[in-house]
Amino acid sequence: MLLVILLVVTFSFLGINTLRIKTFQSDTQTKQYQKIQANLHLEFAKKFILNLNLNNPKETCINKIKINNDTFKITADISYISTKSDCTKATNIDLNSTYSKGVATIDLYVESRSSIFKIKLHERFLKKL
Amino acid sequence: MKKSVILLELIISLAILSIVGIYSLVFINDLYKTNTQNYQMLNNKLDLQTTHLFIENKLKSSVKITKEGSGVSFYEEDINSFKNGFYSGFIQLGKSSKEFVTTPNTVISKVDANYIWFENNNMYKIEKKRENNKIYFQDVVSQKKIYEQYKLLKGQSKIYLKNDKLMFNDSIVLNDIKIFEVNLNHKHIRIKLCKSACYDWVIKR
Repeated sequence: MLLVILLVVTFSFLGINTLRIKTFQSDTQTKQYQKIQANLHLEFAKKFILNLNLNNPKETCINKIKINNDTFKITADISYISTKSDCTKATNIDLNSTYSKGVATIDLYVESRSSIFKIKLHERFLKKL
Repeated sequence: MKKSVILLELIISLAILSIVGIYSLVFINDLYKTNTQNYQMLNNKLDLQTTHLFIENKLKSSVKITKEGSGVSFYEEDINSFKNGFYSGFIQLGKSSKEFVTTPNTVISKVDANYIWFENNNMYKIEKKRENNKIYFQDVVSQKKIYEQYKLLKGQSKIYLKNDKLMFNDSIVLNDIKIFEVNLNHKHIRIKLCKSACYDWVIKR
């Protein structure tokens, strides 16, 4: 009887330890996949924004971009250092517009929608106008 | 007769229990060893993954990456100051000279950087003057090649192997490393690292 109790207790501890390791392993793997996925979304969004024309005089100023995705929130906040005066987030400076039209400062955020594995990536980069 | 039967039964029971007990202990011992090995393997794997991420992160936010011995040296960008909006990364070329550059939206007093870097690896040491929206060069005499966009750099850092320890400047990153080799080409950085096994990491530049 005593031996049975001893075995049950020992196996319970070992079982808990094994489960803990397995959970830790799966948790790390999930986080790794989430990070890889978030990074790929960030790269895609960056390429997409770098190919946009942010200085089209016929269109209104773009201050925010949202990309729809089921698993991630992808948003970009755009501010300008330029001669543009119609943008809300703009620093107007004196530039010789023949040579330079200024830059857009883009803050790109990719945030996971999962309530368990929270991940939020941020990258700031400049785009020549 | 009855007593001897009971004694025999007792001996057989004890023998069975002993065998069960010994096998259980052997089984538990094996299970413990397997678990310990798994745990150590997992820890090693996590250490290597974390080191990989750390090196990748450092190199991706660095410029002037060069091979030094079997290790690598590089200049780290002051990413935090840029993300916090302490400097804009944009220069008004028309209002800049060989003494200073004019850069709007820059609170240089909050930035702790030593170098300014332009495309094509032009890099100059900067003076720590507290005048916002302007960055002064330390060398005000020589001609400079400047571009519209720039990065501010903190200083030179190194990742190298010393006495079987992988070091980042003066801090230990990993112990018991046998080989750490870095190879550079214009597109990738290839790192070979050997602990109990060897790993090849390729980082995109």
